[in-house]
Amino acid sequence: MAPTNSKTKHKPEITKVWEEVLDLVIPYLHDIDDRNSVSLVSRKSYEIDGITRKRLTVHTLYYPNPASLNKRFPFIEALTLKGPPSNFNVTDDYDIQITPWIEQLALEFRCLKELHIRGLVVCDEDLETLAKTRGLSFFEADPVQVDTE
Amino acid sequence: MSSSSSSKMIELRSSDGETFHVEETVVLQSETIKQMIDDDCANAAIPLPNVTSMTLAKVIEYIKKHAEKPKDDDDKKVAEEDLKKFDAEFVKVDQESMLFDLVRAANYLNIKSLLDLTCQAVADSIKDLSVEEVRKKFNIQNDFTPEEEAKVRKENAWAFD
Repeated sequence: MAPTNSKTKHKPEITKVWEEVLDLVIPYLHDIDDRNSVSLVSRKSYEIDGITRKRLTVHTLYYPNPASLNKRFPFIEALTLKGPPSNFNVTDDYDIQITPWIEQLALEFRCLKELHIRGLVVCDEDLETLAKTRGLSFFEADPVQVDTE
Repeated sequence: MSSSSSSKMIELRSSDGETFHVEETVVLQSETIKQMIDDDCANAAIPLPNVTSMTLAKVIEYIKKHAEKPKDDDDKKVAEEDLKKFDAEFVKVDQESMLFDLVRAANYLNIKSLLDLTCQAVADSIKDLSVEEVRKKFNIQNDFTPEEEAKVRKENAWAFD
């Protein structure tokens, strides 16, 4: 009787204990594929992955929602926004605007230190918004890299 | 080491009631215990209800090694190499559960370098595992609804690299 009892008594504890280990380990996963895998393990690991991710590349073509990105990864420090691939035929249906991203960056992503924009057109107003909200030091410290190739 | 031999001894008691005597200078690597000593709570044995004697013995082995002071600059280089080797060997444990226990102990005792070492070892061991394999390893139930899981999967695949 006794061993069975102790076994059933121990099981839920072990589950919780090992889960706690994974929580602690998630920040030490640096590979993007490992991060993506761990975000699918459970709701909690999804959340911990979200708040501990520092670097991110977003394909704006497939992820047109800046607000939900900020909700998932509120403490991003380095963000790369990518436009469509060069052989992609941009039609009206897929007109990717950088402005909504810039507006969101102006409001949220308070830990952002580095911004890279690739393959997207950035107009003067966008840069002005960034300069106003982030301050000119944002450009000085880690210049916004605009690469339209 | 000779200078620290006269250092005050601190008594630690594991969850299974075993006591360990460790020099204060060594045990100060634990921020948790340092706080207790600073608050004058370390006159009697310090109870560590979350750490078993087996795990505590390993933790003490680690902090003792890391408390060794090199005599001169030449010795410093050798000591650094030696410490690297020690760390690499330290995380090669037979039982994975021991490594997990060390992560928890390092977290509870707040020993940053030990937490970094053990967490990185676990992180390396789950590299390239599938989602299902990670769940199994840590005994975690999938609590996503199928819709939620599909949404995250899609987001991961398309938006981030």
